[in-house]
Amino acid sequence: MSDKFLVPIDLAQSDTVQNPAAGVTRVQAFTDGSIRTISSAGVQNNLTAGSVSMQSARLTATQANSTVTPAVLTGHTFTIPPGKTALINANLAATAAATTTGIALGIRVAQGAGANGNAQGSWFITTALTSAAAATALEDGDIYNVAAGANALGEVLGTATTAGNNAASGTAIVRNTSTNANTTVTIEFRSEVAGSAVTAQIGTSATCVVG
Amino acid sequence: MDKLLTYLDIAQEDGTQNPAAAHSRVKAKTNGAVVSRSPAGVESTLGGSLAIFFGSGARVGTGLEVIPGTTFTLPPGKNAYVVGLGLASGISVSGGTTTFGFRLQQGAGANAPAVCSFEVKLLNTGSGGAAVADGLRNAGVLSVAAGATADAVTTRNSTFGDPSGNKAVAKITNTSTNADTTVSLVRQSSAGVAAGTASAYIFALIS
Repeated sequence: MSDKFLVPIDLAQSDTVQNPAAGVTRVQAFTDGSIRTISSAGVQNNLTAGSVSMQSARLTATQANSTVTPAVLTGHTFTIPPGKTALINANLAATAAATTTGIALGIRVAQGAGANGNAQGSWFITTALTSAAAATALEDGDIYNVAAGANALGEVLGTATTAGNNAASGTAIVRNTSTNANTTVTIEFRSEVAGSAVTAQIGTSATCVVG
Repeated sequence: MDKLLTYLDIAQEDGTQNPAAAHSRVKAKTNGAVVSRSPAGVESTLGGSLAIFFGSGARVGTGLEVIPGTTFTLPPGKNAYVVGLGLASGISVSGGTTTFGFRLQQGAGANAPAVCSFEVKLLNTGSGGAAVADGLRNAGVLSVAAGATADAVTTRNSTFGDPSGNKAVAKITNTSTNADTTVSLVRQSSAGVAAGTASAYIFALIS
């Protein structure tokens, strides 16, 4: 049996399929167990430095809610596995049945039953107060600290007077500190006025980056 | 012995033992990235790294202080998209000012600065308080030279000692090739209120 030849892997650099450039990028193992690429300029990228996943959702049909009870936007349910942290961004575009009917955007965090740690984090939501670009919006934020089997909703209701409102955006950072249960994040919306519908528009979307 | 510089062609397979006819190629780009390229020409960059920080800390004094647990290192040549949220104490105190945002420190001897574009907003509402219409916003750019420190923050007079709903967003680049950039969340409450728990959270994507 021959001795092992332990060598780095050198890859030819190329920005096209068939024509390599003059430089070389090396794939090399380090004593800490990582595997990195090293460019000819010495820039390193760690190929083994953890993982990132992104979940996303987008409305492909309008969705109405004529109640003051929050409803989950179709498809806007995200899972944060045990020990992971997520950055959530949501954008709601909506119309209202009346100019005096406002819209609310909410980010709800639910911790799995039997979880041995809480879901913790913070949220910040902005809801416009007019249907055209303007300098007025209602904003709020707070923290999450959700125990097993419980849930908490961060929400901002844009009250409407004569102009209506049609847009809201929200950001949240949520960490699942448990080791045995998932955290579930849902993006929700509702009407300000019972019996007067708000309709989320196609293109309303959210992303959840988990690492 | 001459080096053999090559691409790495990997058979495509969706979980069975029978490879598909097409192959994906793993190759290097001139910017140092390694990508996989499908027969249709779709490229995905391999590698990269993610840093996530969770910070909480007790109220300490009235100075502008780093929030414990929210400090991370940005290596040379790296970019970070950073979001900071939070700071809710459950304690309301009238008067004073509140400051929140990011602190950048460029390593001594760095051969180029750390640069940053940022936006920070503070609301005048306490923990569990009502939504308000008077968020105070500051946005701008910073360039932090070797050995220097700069803060990307917003300050406001607050009815509440530690308003909820603080939000800071920044894109930070360490343009040096030989030193790290240190990034932290910072806060200050000049109200001098009794000790409490201030919770702040930072999420950073680094590539």
